[in-house]
Amino acid sequence: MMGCPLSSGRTSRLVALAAWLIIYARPSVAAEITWGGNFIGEGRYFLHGPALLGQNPARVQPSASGELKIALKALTPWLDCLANPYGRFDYYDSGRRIFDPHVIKCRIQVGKGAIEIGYDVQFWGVMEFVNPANVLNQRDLTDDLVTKRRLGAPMASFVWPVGSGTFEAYVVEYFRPLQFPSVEGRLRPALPVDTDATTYESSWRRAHPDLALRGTATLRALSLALSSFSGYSPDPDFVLGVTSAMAPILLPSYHLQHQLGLEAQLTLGALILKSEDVLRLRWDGDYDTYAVGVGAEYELGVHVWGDETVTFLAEYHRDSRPRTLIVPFTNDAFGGARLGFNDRRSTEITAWTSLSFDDHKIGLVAVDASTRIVDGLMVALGYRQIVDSTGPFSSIAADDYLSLRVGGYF
Amino acid sequence: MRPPTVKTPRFSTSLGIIAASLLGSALLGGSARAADGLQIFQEAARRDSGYHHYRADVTMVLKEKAATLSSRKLEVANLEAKGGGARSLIIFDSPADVKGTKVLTASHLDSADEQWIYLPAFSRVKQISTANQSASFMGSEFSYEDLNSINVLVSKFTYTYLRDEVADGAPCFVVERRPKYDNSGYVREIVWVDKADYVLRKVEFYDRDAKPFKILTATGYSKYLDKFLRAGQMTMENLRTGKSTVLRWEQYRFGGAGVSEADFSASALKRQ
Repeated sequence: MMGCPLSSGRTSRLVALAAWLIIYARPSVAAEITWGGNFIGEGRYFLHGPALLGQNPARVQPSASGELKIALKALTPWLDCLANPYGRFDYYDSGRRIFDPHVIKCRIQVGKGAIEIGYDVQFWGVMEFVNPANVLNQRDLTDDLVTKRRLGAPMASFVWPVGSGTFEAYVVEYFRPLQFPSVEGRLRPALPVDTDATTYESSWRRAHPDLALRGTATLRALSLALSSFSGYSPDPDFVLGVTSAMAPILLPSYHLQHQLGLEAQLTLGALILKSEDVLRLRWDGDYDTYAVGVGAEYELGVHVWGDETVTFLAEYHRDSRPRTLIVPFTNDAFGGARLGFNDRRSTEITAWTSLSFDDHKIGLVAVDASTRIVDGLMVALGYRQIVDSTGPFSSIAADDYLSLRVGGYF
Repeated sequence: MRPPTVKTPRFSTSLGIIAASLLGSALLGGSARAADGLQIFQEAARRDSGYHHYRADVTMVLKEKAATLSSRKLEVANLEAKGGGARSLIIFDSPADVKGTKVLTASHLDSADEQWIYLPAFSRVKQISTANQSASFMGSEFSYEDLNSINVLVSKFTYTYLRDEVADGAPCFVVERRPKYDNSGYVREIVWVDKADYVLRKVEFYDRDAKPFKILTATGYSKYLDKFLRAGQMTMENLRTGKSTVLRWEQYRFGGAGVSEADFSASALKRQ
């Protein structure tokens, strides 16, 4: 079911392009090479046995992930390159096994602006929980229940500074579909997803180029961004199918859309107000949708709590699409707090919950705590509780878990 | 290559004028003292203006009593902004789990600062609140506020000249300054300003209860571009906990004629 994200032909073309750039640039002896990375071991302890047919009964499920980061700076006055591949291996769930080129790109300085070519990740948006504007890169759905991790995509970008902001243009190639947990995995839809049978609206299938323009401006405390995207929606529709054994199965289908986005953030001392909104116009004219997000952060400083700082987070998210496990938050509020100890171990505790206004139920509860044991060694504890056993979370209602992550950084 | 450490000149014409002025003002009332305190810092700012841009490598050593707990490495860059103010960029190099994280601060003469953070794990740039600038910086005895005030903006404080005094062997003006901005962790600071070079030698910080809190000493000044003095070492002692943090500044690189505010903008954080 898992598709290879990087075909050998595209890999060789990207490597050849990067090699040509580096040779053509005639690297100077002053070029600076820096490298680093991490290796993280994670164990998840599921509080309940599996509820779905085919799921592995192991309550403790280990996985390991790692990333490498190599930066070649000032190869010439106009050329820098960066590689930051990421991989994850899950012992039981093949759907969580992933290789992501993530970032393998070269940056060419062109006057005041820059062109970047290669695999890249762009983050758009201002919200903490749901980022509807963030459409260029696919989500790493198997990373966490509500993840910020995005998967790399082959793209070319052009960024030109304008006043206090930028003008940006993007061409994204070789669309990357969502990767789902396998039949054996936890936190999956009730029916297995057959990604081999994925359909695409464009006759070019995954090769259809996505195009985007974005303008940003920073006016002291106000940050604004307007974006226009034309290409694949990262969230698929699902069609019910059957296997050769006549078992029901979900078939993902990706449609093309124009998306107009607005991001705004106003920072007023300890208070941050923000909004992230999109309008989606489907190419097939089926139906248009929108998403609206509004939120606030408020920071209580060290004067109140001693050496610690507390940040309160509150957001509301409305999405006019149908509510599913892929789009679970359609009329939901989020509330949470982040406690920073401001110590040399960078100790931090974050807790949040979601509340659906459709059925007036709490959906999820999440708690995370992390600290640095010694330099280069971080440990993190996590807890995820699926409170609402109906609606979009019904298939994962038995998948509450505790996690322990130990990460070595170099 | 580092320029040689410069011997402190013992006297200068402008210094003589200001010193005479201060001597007279010692007999005057509070407003004269305030004006003198302000003059001292205006002169310090005047002497330091025109550097345009510099970068430096910083090693931060965290200590408890005599023991070294851990160290961090940073790169610090600073740009003089048009119309006053400054932009400073801190790039974290170690510990490895925060490597590549960047914090950009835009300091303004007439309004609150702005601050952005770049989180490399998510390729995300986020504007953050500056309300917590009195919080510890990376678990050290320095706060964000302390780091920002290295390139201090004169208009952010009120001043009162107190006395003359020798600090670390150097004759100094002793000036009290009080933060005018919100959310400072200090109610007042006593600053020793070198009479010859107008650089800070020592600062005593008093917390919001007006109790002695921290002491900063700056040593090992070197001159760059034949004009700009920068400390080689800053030590912050926490009087409450007995902990201290040493910042060792190395490899100052002044210049960068092509560097502009666009290079110190939120959108540039991802690209640097």
